[in-house]
Amino acid sequence: MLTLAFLPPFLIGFTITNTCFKRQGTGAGILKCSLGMGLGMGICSLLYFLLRPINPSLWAVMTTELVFLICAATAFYLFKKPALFISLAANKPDAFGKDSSAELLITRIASILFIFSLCNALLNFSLASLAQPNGDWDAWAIWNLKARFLYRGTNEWTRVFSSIIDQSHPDYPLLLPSFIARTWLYLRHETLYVSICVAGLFALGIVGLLTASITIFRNRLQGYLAGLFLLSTPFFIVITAAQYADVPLAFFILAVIVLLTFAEQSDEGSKSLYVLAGIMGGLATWTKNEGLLFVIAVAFSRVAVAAYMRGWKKGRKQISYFCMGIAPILLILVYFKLHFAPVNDLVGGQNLSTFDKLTSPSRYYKVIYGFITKSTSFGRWIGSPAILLIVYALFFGTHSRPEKSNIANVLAIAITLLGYSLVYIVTPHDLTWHINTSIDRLLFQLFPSMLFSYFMTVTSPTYFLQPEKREEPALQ
Amino acid sequence: MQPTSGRKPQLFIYLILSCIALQQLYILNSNRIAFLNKSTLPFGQSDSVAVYEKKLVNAVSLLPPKSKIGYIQDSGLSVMQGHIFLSQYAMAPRLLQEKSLSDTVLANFPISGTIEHPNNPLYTERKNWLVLKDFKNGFFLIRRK
Repeated sequence: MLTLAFLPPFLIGFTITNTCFKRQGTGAGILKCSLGMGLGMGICSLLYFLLRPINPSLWAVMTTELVFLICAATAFYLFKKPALFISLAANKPDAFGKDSSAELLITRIASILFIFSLCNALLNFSLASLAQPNGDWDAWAIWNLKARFLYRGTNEWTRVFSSIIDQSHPDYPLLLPSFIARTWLYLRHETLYVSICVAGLFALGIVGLLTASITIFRNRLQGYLAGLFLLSTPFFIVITAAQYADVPLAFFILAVIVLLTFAEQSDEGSKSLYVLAGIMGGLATWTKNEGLLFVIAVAFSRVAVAAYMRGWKKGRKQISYFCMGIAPILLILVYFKLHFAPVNDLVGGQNLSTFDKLTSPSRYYKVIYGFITKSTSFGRWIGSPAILLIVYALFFGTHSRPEKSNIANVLAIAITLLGYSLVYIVTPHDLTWHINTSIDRLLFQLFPSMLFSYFMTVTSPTYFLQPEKREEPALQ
Repeated sequence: MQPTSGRKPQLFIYLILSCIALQQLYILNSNRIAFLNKSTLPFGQSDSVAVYEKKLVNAVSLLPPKSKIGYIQDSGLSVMQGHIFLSQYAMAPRLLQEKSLSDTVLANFPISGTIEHPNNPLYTERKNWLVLKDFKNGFFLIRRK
């Protein structure tokens, strides 16, 4: 029954992804499944939220989802396109070679290690979920609490926005609570398995999206390495089992970055990929308030890179397609913010002291120090993963031709981090407390995207194992 | 570092894979510890949330879903342990208001045990309050006289 409840979102998401993304193959299949599951959960969450004030019955929700699925399937047949050509691995200097036995052996070892890591992560997640099936603090104080209000509060569901429970952040967007409540409605009872499955599926989506996209863009070894770095980060499983919304947000951020990279690297350019990236960006804003900051950063980074590379005319078109995807979800978000949500505590807490905070060097020092110390020890590895990644990059170097999309992705991540820093500087809460309780999660939101940008930039080891294809990397 | 010779990059990538394998063994060991410490209670009944839900099951059945009641707890209970959040989670969609107490209040007194205890936060005004229901687990439903 639980599987059946997750089937409509998967079908909706997969059909839309398949409509926009025509590439075929195993890697593309994994990519589409990963994107489709997250996208479907996001869309079903929005549909449930829109239906909640009108008719929150099971039949109404099921019918709406079915209509949506039929529309998506119709669009799939109407907009049939030839397979998208993307100038990927085959043209890269680090492309997979023909018959290098060293390459094959290393890739085989990496693939075995990847499967082992995936099983290890699943076991870790299952044990952690058994120990705390309701998740950690934010799960029961914010996300699952809201889901209970939406599901249990027949006519009083708007109590979820009451100022009485202001410490549960009534202004936070509702992707996660709305989807959980919708699935409980399908099952006709509340069960802890739903929130556990949602968390697990988003985490699995991140792994699939990261590994498959790097495999398609670079090669299998590089893809496995990216996946291995993610799966070897204990904090990834900890935060997934905690059922925090940072995992879905990290998924949507990564989806935007990956889809924009695909769109920009396809020779003819793909409008539908920009629209899909826009939809994913919209769902990021529907997951957490930080998603809005990221979307602004993405738009700004693309405009800046287009202006710098003198491709403004093309860039403007791309931005407009991205906006077409994001606009409907932003409208729903505006409706939610204006009609239901109270003022955000970080915004409402601003007063004249904000100027003092902005001019206080000690606050800047605290924030920078917090980011540096947390970044170097991020992920709860035995040692520092940052050192391992730096050594790896120094050893293998980067590509001689930096790609436009990579520059824009790094810029988007950097702007988002700057935005987070600014929020810390003007926070009305105690700064040390605020940093200590949230910086890990903020870094995690961008961590999969950072790994994607990193493995897109660093030369693959396979390049050095193919003497006949060598070309000097830019940095060694 | 310049990975120009054939074997150097090969050795280096093996080193990287070894580091990852070591990290995986570390995760596997944490899995082993988690498995050994696994609760014997049925699924969903071992964490603090389940404890609160069990304690408040009678209070939930007593109060209508539309109700908005006050919440007070022993001053010895740490705010960092999130007792109000756990109670709110169990009581949803009933609203618990902590700041200004309404007439009916859900009292969480696991330390003082009774309103008559000198360490109880309502001790000074105990004559103004009537115990409606003692749930015998530290929770009380009290009402202003």
